[in-house]
Parts: sequence; structure tokens; C-alpha cells
Amino acid sequence: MSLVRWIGLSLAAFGLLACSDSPTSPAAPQEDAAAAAPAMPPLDGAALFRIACAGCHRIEAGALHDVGPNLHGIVGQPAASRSDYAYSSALQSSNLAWDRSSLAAWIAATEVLVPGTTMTYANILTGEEVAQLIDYLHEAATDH
Amino acid sequence: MNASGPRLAWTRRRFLALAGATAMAGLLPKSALAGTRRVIVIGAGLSGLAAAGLLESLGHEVLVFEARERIGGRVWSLDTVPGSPEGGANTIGPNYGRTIGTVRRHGLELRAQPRGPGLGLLIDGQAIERDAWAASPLNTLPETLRDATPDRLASVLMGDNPLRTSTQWLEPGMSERDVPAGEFFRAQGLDERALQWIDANNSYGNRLQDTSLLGLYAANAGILRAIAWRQPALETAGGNQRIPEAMAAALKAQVQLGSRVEAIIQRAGGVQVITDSGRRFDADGAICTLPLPAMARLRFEPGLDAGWRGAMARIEYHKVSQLHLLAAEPFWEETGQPASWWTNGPLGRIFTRTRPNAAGHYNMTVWINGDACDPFDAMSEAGAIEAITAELERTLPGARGQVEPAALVRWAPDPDSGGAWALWPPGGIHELTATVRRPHERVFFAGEHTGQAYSGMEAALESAERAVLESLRRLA
Repeated sequence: MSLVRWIGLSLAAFGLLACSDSPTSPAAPQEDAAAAAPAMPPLDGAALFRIACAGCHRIEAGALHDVGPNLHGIVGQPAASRSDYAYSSALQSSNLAWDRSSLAAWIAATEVLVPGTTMTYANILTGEEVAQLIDYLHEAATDH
Repeated sequence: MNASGPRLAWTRRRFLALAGATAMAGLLPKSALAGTRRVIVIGAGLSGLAAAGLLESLGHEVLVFEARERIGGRVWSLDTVPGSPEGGANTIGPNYGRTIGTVRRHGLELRAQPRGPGLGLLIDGQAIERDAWAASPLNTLPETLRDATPDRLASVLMGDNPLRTSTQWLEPGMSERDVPAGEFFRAQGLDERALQWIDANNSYGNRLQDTSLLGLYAANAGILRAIAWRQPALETAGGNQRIPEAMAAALKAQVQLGSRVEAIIQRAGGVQVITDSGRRFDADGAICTLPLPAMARLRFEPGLDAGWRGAMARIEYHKVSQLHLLAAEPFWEETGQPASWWTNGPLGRIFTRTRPNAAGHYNMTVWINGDACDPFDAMSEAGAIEAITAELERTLPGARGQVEPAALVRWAPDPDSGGAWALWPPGGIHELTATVRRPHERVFFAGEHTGQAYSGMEAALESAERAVLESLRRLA
């Protein structure tokens, strides 16, 4: 065993030993775990943004662009309108404006709406979730 | 890597003994906050860690199990070798938004992958200048293709790529292209020798007859999309493994290393996960990110349906074996030959970094793939290192006495991965890709093999988003 591996192992074991001070049980099967749990808040627009968009986009006012542009205040703006972001020429020449309808079409299939866009995205949201997300894109700009 | 199995097994036993019999029990608090869900994540590679991070950021509890003694899965920087060469995922495309964002958010540094002068061609053991290929007596290509070098031949013949979007390869309408690639290339006038060139370093099948033309189109289109960004390919300073390590360190949950999950039991509105030490953990749901060969050893109760079982039986994983070496001197400069090579011989490709690492050595990687790995994978670790080194010195006489083997990586025989990435058999893409994304009641699936618009590291992160969304919809 290499020294590095051994040191790593020792640290990991130490971490676990520290955890063993917390209350433990024999971990018997817990029947009906979820049925007893309180209702989970619905997946709201902010949660959907975090799951489906935040990997590439920020939305806070003034935040730097990520690999995708900052989306603060995107609703109602012309496409490719941030001066400090290098959009694809396809999006720049799309003549799109981001309203609810174009945003929904964009999220559903970016490369179909704007062939040649560099935003490659396989949509995972339902139509209802897309609507919630667009609400959030709108609200996030008006709240801040 | 596989040859160190007994050693890993020993460390795991030692680990559990040190941890104590009850240390791993009860890590999930019994009193959940209102609305909190408990999700067990199986696998601490990029997809598992991304899923765990997302769930925690949304207020849920996670417990992450990892069979290996290290974080990262198929992201594996060889830190025992000077220069920390990548034994696993090595390239971050400039279009890998999630990966790049993850690197930045964790304060890690990205750098451009060094670009060498290009790979030299070694065909049937003979070094051939690229601009001399068209007139070479070794070139038996049809007249219209004589300019296409063996390494570029497949992409030249796929110039009419029908895929217009990144997800079109998944659509049923593309099935007519989901045929054995060898038949397509033969129909373009290639002889058996030329087919062997395409097969020699084919990353999308272990052999050409089991390679899907549609799979090749999808890979080719993915590369073109990355190129369209007109930015260099990237890597993480200090090794890509710093990414999963940072992701794990940022979790509230501590990743349970050396904990191989053996069973997932679902009943009465919850899941129970049983590890190889016999411990049982309860949760509302689970996200399984294991590569399919590793997942095939999991016991599911109730069992996976016939479609799922069929998919696991049909989907092969790509064989990749690498020997990492160190050269004390830039020996290639003596001969004026390239430092890196594309060969149609048993070693596949030889990649050399022409700038020394911090220790003053030059990192080299022999990258063998597909069925060409078989003879080396059947040898002992020492035997494979000796055989590959000897073959390298035969292939590149200038390397004789100049290189020291530093690490052997063999993905296919590794029980925790079974290969480097999923391969799609001809005729199966639409059905199989949909099947491996399909939840099994309260168990959801992520991992590179369930990516849609991307491959590699970005596919792993992409898949985590989908699996988290599916799990939260289901567990609401």
C-alpha cells in the first residue's frame, strides 16, 4: 500500500470514527419512511432554475457570466443583448425577443429554434415546469 | 488498477475495522425537517456528487456510498506519478458549461490542454509523413480518398453527418443510421486494411462490427460542436480529480468510501440500501450512478424489468488500457520525429507531453483501446507493464532505455467500472438509451451512460440534473 493511500485511508477512518459519536441505531428497516414524512414543498421556479439552469447560468443582478450568460432580466429583452457576452452568430442574427412564448420554445429545443446556437441543452422540464421557470426568470428580476 | 484488487480489498477491511462496527449506521438523522427528503446516492463520481450537491442545496439529506477507497469514479488523476497524468476523464470541452462552472465555483484553476504539433503516423510499423501519405505504397484507399490519413478516414467519410441537434441521435427517426459502421465504410469502397485502420483507434466500439454508425455520427457531431466554440480544450490544474474531490468536500454529507452497495430493496414507500458489510440504510429514494457493469451486480427487490435487464446484457463498455511512462529526456528531439503517434499496431496511440512536468520528467501515455486491450488485460500487472514497455521500445526505437513505466490503468477488468464508457450496439440506440434513463420506482439513474446532449464529464453532470428532478417529482 502506498504511503499516500495509507494516509488518505487513515484520515477517512478518523472522519468516520468522529461520526460514530452521534446517536446510532442498529439501522433496522424503517417501514413506510416516506408515508410518515411531511409533504415536500412543490418544486418551484427557483428550485427548477437551480436544477436545470444554474449549472451554466447565474441570475443575480450584476453577477458575472458563467459559460452561459447571466439571465437577470432576460424576459422582455432581445436575444443576444448582453454586450459583454460572446453569443453565437446564430443567436445574434435570430431577431428573437425573449417573451414567454419564445422562451418556452427555446427551453424546449434550443437547437431547433436557433440552428447553430452554441447552447446545447436536452430539456428535462415539463411544459408546466417551463412556465414556472419563466415566472421565476421574470420575478427574479423584479424582486431585486 | 485491477491487479491491485487484493490490495484494495485489504484496505477496505482495514478501513471497516478502524471505523468500528456501528460507525456507519444511523448517519441519516431520523427526524427530518419539514419537507426534507432523504436520498441515497450510489457512486461518488461526478454524477453522484453533482446529484448529492444539488439535493443538499435544495434542503434535502443525502448519504453517498462509494465502493472504491477514493472519490471520483472514472475521473482519476494518477497522483502517485509525477505530473498527475489522467488515468480517466481527461478533456473538458470548451462547451462543457456545467463542468467549467463546477471547477470555477470550487476555486479550481482551468488551463488549456497543451497542444502538440500533432500525432505522427505509424502504419504497419512505418513512420509516414502526413503529406507523403497520398503517394505512399501503403495507401490502398480509393482514388477520391487517398488524401485521407488513416486517423482522419472515418470523419472524412462521415462528412454528411445527418444530425442537426445534440439530442437527435436519441430519436427513433434516426434508427436507419443505427447500423454496423463497418458495412457503411465498406460500401464507401474501403478494403479490409482500411477498415482495420478505422478499427485501430475506434473509441465508440470494441470492434468495428459492433460499432453503430449513428453512435459515430453522434460522437463526431459532439466534437464539431466543441470546435465551434473556437476555444481550446481544457483540463484542471493539478488533475481533473481535484473536481470530484472539491465537490465531495463541499457536501454536508461525508462520502462513505469503501462501501459497496449490494442491494436496493423497495417496499412501503421507501428504499433500503444494503452494503457489503451488511449494514442497512433507509431513505425515501435512491439515485444509482454506477456504470452498468458494476450495477449489474446489484440486487434489486423488486427486480428490474425485462427491458432493463436486456439493456444491461446488450450494452458493452469500452475497453481502455493505458501505460503511463516517464521519460527523463526529450528523446524524440534526437531523431526529429514526432513525440506522439497514431499507430495501427497493438499499442494504438502514444501521447507525449513535450513540456516537462514539475519534476522535470516528460509524461507519456500509451492508450490502447477496444479488443486490442484483451491480451494485455489477461496478463498480470507486472507482465502487462513489461509487455507494453517492450512493444513501445520496438515501436519507437528511440524510446529504448529512455522511458520508465509509472502506472498501468486497465478499465475493463476493474469490477467497479467494467470499462471506460458505455458503447451503443448497432440497432439499439433509441431503445437502450431510453431504457437506462428509466426510473425503477423510487430508484433513479444517472451517470455518463445516461447523458443526452453531451458525453464524458459533462454528460455525467447533465444526467445528475435529470435524476434529481425525477427523484424530487416522485418523492413529493
